[in-house]
Amino acid sequence: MQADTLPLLPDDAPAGPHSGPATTDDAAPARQDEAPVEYRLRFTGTGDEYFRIWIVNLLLSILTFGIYSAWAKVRREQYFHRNTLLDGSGFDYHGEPKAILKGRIIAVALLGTLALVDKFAHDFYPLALIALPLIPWLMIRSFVFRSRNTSFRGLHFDFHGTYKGLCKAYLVPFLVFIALAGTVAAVAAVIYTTTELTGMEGAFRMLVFRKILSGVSLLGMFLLISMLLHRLKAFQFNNLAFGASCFESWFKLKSFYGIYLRVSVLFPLLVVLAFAPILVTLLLLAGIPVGGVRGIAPGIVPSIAFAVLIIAIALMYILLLIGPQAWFAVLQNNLIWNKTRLDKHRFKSDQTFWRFFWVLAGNLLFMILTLGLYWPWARVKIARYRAEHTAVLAAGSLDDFVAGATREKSAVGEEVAEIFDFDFGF
Amino acid sequence: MQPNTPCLDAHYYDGRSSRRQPVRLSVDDAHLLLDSPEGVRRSIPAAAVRASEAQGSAPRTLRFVNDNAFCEVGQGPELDALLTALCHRDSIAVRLQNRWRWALASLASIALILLAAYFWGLPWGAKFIAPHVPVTAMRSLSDETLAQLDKYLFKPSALPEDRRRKLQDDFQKFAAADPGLAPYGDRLVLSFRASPAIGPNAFALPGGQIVLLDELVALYDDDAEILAILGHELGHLSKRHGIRMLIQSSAVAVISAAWLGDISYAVGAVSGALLSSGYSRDMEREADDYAAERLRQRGESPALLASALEKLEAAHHHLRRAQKDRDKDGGGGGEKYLDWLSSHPNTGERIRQLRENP
Repeated sequence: MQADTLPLLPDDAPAGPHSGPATTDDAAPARQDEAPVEYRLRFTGTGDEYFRIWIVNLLLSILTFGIYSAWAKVRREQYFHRNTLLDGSGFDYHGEPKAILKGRIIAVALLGTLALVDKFAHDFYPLALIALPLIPWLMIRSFVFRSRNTSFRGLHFDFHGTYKGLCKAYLVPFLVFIALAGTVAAVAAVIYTTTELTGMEGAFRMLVFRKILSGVSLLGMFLLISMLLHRLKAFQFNNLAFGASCFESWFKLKSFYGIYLRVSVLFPLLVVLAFAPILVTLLLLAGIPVGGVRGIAPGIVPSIAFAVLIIAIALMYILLLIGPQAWFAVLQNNLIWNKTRLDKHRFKSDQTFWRFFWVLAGNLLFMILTLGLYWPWARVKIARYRAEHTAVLAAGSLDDFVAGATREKSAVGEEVAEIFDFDFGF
Repeated sequence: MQPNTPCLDAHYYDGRSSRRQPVRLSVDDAHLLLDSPEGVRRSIPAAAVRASEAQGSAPRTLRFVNDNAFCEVGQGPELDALLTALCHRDSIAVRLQNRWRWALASLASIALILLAAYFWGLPWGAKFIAPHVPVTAMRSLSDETLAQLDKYLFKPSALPEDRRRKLQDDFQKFAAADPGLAPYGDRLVLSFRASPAIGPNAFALPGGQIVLLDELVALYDDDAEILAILGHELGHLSKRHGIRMLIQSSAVAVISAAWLGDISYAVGAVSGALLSSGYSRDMEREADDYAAERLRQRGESPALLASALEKLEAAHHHLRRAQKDRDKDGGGGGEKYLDWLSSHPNTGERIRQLRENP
């Protein structure tokens, strides 16, 4: 295997294949005849390079009133695709600038119409609901455009998901939602009509019922969001293909419950628990009363405590702002890639929360300090972290994939999705 | 193969499978030659070779017209020599983005364009669009604003009923003479309020309401001066300054959200608010000119507005002095730092202008 890897890059050596321990932690439907070889992804881009590309293309986009932005997008995608290397070969992006421009024009026209209707004919805004059935279609077009325009070693990815398939995937969560909302409404109606809710005792009962109802609704939303996300990711990955080979994923719904529970409940709880004693101490030292107790500290201690308090609050804010986002991305990527295969090859994702959190926190800090000019470096850092913590566990050679049928690709869905800020990235 | 032609190792993919084959590239007689120990032997005319753009240190691809096969080549002087031999030339954008000099020049150009757009393009564009925006579109926004102000800053007016009726009648007569104000319809009313927190003042809301504070009424013995001030506010309505400001601030909000939205929506919103506070100097002057013109039409002197402004300025000066004294005891003084951001025109200059053009 190593013999046919030519030294394409001067620093190619560390990227060469090396045997890694096979991760067979659970009952994976993978046939493993021989020990898999681990090929780690590598990212060779740098912030300096990408800054130059970004700023020049931004200027050209401004000078052409946005028309050039389609070409700029292709260049950006190509930069990130080509600089991502697997076993010495780069990925590639083939989006057509003209197709993207067409998609963008349609997307802007659509968004403009919606905004105008919202602003000047608000009563007609509900008519926009007619566009709702278009959303699954847009999502699928976006997946298709992105996958078909991505290639590796001359073979294109593809997406086989259908409108019907996506609707079917969403049918069960939708029915659960209807059932849940219906039950909550029915229970509420029964309680309100059969129980005495006046007077002191009645008011108290009313309060308890309300709390229970909102608790049930919150739990329902939590289950529903996990279910939707699980179904969407399963739809995405089980319909993805590389050449004629199909990806297969087997991550479970309960894993998504776990992710959501950790990110939305456990994380804020831990942060608050960790910071509460520190904040209380600092407040007391600064001479600010807490719950009727007022601390007295001599000399300049209160001023110092106050300064530290501000820093502590800022830290807590940053932790709560990007912590859940970082943890969610890490947990989800690890879950999905560790339970996905392509033919007999498997994947490995070993991102860790703190490392990724530091990447995001550093990016946030420098973005603020540079008024947004740090953006290219920030993107490169994220791409590098993601690549370096993703690997292919190849069972045999990567030479044996064959091409699938080639099909057309339109950028409308992709561009509309982008402008409405949907992120369906793989 | 001639010894002086560039020659280098690459990977060859046939486009039908992911198989990677080592291949040796060379150029001969304006043809790219591919030669591999595994049997690939091809000769492709230089005109049919498409080299990918250089993207950092990533390998580049050489694709061939009407062919799914391609070569992947590591960068270096050998590849550059090969591309030169194939008469390949990088596009202008690629040559620009390869040099720091051009990248920094682009950055400076973007900064200049943004500044020019903010100071000239935006006001010009808003002035152009504003007449085409129906004033009815501003009604709900104005009503909401007034409701918010009523909740937090305003108190009901304490002026006697007959005094209010007289001012309202005078105001309506003054306004009816300008057909440019007709689109505001029955929203063009004087709303009486009081606000010790704001002090003597009057505001025009873009929907047509003009708020007159008791504190301002108390400042003048002569109703003609109040009408002169109201004339100035009517100028803001007639020239659609509120709509123009709204268009400008929306544009600033959209652009800063697009630029900084990745950091946080809050940062974008704050910068939008900072960049567009209050009417511009030009708008105030335009409203002054409008009021002066209307006063002249009524056979009155623009000096009325000048003296009204003088009294207003004196009252505000007095208020600020009192505020400063209070701040000395309790710290604060944030207003001083925000002063340079607000676009309050020089009142002395405005008064002089009004006096000089009777």
